[in-house]
Amino acid sequence: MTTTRDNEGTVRCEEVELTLPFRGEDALSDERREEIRRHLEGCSECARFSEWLEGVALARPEPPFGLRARVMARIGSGADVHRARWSRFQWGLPAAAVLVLSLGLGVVWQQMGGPELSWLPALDEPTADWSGEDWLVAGEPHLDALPYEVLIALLEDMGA
Amino acid sequence: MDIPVDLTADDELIARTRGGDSRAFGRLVDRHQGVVFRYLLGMLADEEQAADATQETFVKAYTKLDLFRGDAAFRTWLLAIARNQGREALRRRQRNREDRVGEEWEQEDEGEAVDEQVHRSVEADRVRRALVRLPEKQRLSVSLRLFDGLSFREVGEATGSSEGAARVNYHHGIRRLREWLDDDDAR
Repeated sequence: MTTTRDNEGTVRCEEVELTLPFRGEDALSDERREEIRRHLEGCSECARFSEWLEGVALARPEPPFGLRARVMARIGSGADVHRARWSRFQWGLPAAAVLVLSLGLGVVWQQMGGPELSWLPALDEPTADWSGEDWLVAGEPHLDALPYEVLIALLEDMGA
Repeated sequence: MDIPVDLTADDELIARTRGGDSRAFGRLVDRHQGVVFRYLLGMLADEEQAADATQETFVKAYTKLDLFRGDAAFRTWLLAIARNQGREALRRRQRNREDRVGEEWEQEDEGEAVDEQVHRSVEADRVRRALVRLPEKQRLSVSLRLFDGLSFREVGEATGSSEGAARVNYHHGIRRLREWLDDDDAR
């Protein structure tokens, strides 16, 4: 594109090429926009370029029909599952904290020679026996037993 | 007097969504699905993969809506999520060794232009096929600027570039596009 100037000699074709199409937040004063419009009226090459741009803009690709419905269907079903699972964990955490504290105190009590507490499992018993079907140990996730996909979803919910 | 939902600001729709109104999120999808889809199309150059990634973007946005602080525009935040989805799709593609770039944009049979609508469709196809040939950042800059009206600052934010780089990418992209389309016309 050659360098031409309009009657007032203030706008170059290169500037027009970079400015068009006018877009919302570009830092262009109204005065400058007006100068460019006047340039377009006087420069056939830039006017052709402007028309060409308008033609290209008509080729705008559109998202496929039904995309919104697919998103809303996902939101209404699967996406909420992660929220529900994490909500369960959140309610289970205070209970888990109480249990862990009790266990810890129980262990210390035994180590200090206190009478055996019947409700306290032997220290060498595997914790896997406590896990429920949903891999929760007294409301707290038992991470070792979690399937990989569930672990990833949990980490995502925790913002990891 | 009720304000039509379509004119409601993003902030209001986000607040309603957080309040449990999923229809408000549907309005956000209506408003922004175009720019997200075109952005991902610019990254992936495949309409089906771009549609899938667009869906994932909005689902992710919905589940993480509590993390949107409002420091930037909602569209900017969405495009950041879209960029991650696009990268993930590109990684999956590489792992699967798919070679579908441009497949969805191939013209099956040009045939004869029997009316204006067909002619416009053929022209649109030419433009899209030329866009696919551009390097990613040029393609994205041209697409976001020309199709979605983003400023160069916003284009830079969306593509992880400076505003100046966005201008340069747009400039080179437009020039190449024009050369290729003019060459096609000359044949």
